[in-house]
Amino acid sequence: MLRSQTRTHLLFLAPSLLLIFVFMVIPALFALYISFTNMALTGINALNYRLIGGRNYIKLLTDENFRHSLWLTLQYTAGTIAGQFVLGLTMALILNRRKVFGQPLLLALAILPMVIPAVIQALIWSSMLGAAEFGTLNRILGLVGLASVAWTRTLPLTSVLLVNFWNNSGFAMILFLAGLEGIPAEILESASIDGANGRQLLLQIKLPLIRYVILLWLLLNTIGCLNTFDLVYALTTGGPGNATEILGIYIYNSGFRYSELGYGSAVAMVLLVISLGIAYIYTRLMRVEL
Amino acid sequence: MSVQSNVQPTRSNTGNTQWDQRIRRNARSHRIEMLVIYVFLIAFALFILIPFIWPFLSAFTNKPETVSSLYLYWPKTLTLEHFNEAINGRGDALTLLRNSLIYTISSVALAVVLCSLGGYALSRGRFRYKRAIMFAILLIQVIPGTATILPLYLIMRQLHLVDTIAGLVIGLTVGQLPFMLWVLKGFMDTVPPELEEAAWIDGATPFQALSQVVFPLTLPGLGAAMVLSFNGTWGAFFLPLIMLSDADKFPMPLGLFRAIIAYTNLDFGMMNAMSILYLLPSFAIFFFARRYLIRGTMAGAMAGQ
Repeated sequence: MLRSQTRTHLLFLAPSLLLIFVFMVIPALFALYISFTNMALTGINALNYRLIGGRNYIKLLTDENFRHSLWLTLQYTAGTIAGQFVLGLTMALILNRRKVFGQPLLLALAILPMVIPAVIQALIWSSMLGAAEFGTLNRILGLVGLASVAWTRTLPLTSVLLVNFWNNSGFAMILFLAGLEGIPAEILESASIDGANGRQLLLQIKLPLIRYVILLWLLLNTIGCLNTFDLVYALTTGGPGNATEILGIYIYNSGFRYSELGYGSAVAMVLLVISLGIAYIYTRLMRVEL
Repeated sequence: MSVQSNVQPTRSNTGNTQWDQRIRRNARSHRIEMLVIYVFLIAFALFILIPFIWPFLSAFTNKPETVSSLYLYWPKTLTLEHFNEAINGRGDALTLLRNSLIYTISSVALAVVLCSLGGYALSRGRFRYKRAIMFAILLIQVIPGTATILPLYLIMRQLHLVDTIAGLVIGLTVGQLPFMLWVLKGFMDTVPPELEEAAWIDGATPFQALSQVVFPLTLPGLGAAMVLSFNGTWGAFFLPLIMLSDADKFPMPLGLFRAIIAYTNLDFGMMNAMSILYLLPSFAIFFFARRYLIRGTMAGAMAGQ
């Protein structure tokens, strides 16, 4: 009985594992192999590629564009996380207290951008970020007497970050809010009876108590940022020039625009190692037992 | 982890005593504080809402002759002409929507079936290497999709799946599997095993026990997983961009993107009419299944805790 059950369970699991293996695990391993070759997408090196040792990796070290892309990705990740953290935490702290008018509506609003597909986000923000004085943001700046800004041209990274604050701060908010609601009321009560002020309450009680939620959010968001492609590509296609060519776009361009699969895969390996390293650090910090 | 998964604020007593004390201590600083809070909240609400004005305005109204349709304008008259153009004219919205529906429904259905079976096995199974398999599935989620896209494309090309509907459906399905396996495993864990044992004693096969006993009880969880994966697949852009070159097979996001890239003097009224048609399911999720979306997101986030 038990053995046949186990066999059924494995049978149930097999199709999922097979698909994951063929279309996720093998590509990851294959990318490692390709990164040591001079394989191209088309042309003679598509079929007659050969192993070239670590030459792609050596090229990486000296490639100005790669360094730019890596640095940009780090800025993008740090900027996104900082902005969404501040916005999400502030909203969560406000919504966590009683007597805020329109609370359910605000909660809903914060989630609204999360259902909007990336290409549409890019489309509607292209009007917001319009360079001329007619762009919505520039009109708002004009209302308070400030000069127009050529958003995606002169402040490309800031523009992308702004859209990111808009679209995903709600996620930080709902996670942090869930964490805050899980803090037992007695703890906060006894702390304030002991004379803790609002700032102490936040920094010494609330934040430490929701640190697991914060770490979890950091992990998910960091991985998400490193993996970004859709929104940035749809908004700027990595431009102007390569001003928003984050690693995801850099890999795409290396492979599909310049046909350099070997080099693109070496970049992909760097991204993979960074992602795994970050996941490892966070899981150690969270002391997750697996 | 002691996190309440119920996101809807439960008006707990959190901070009340402290709150009341503070009111008594200093009513005036409290008023200033509330003012600051409301200014912040209103600014936040405007920040979220203002970007939505332009798409609706330009889709439903006629613009004055002299202005660009890319920017806000004072509308002259209401019109449905942009929608007519989107559906019957150059937009070809119905083809794009049909394609999007085919990809999304197929891959969500496939993922739900595969992950119900797999999640059940992970929840109930007592086979060797189970923990290792679950850890591997969790780890795979950390691998960025952009990092494996080049070899994935080569494999798809080798299997003659590039530029095919089946290829894209498989690709979109696989992307959801690791996450959904974990989520559904979590939901299946909440169904007591005694229920299936009773079913087996009555002569049910494991599959019947799953489909008729466990499956119906996990419907809320399943709904959450489905809403989440629908939302993700409906907006999928990267994989279609890589896989498809035949415009007749484009899903909506790719069609819109190609139009934006290709034309300099684009009619954004029509583009936004198409966007709004495309957003209808997203808005439906927002208005009717928001709870599921949140629950699914939370369950996914907590996976492995």
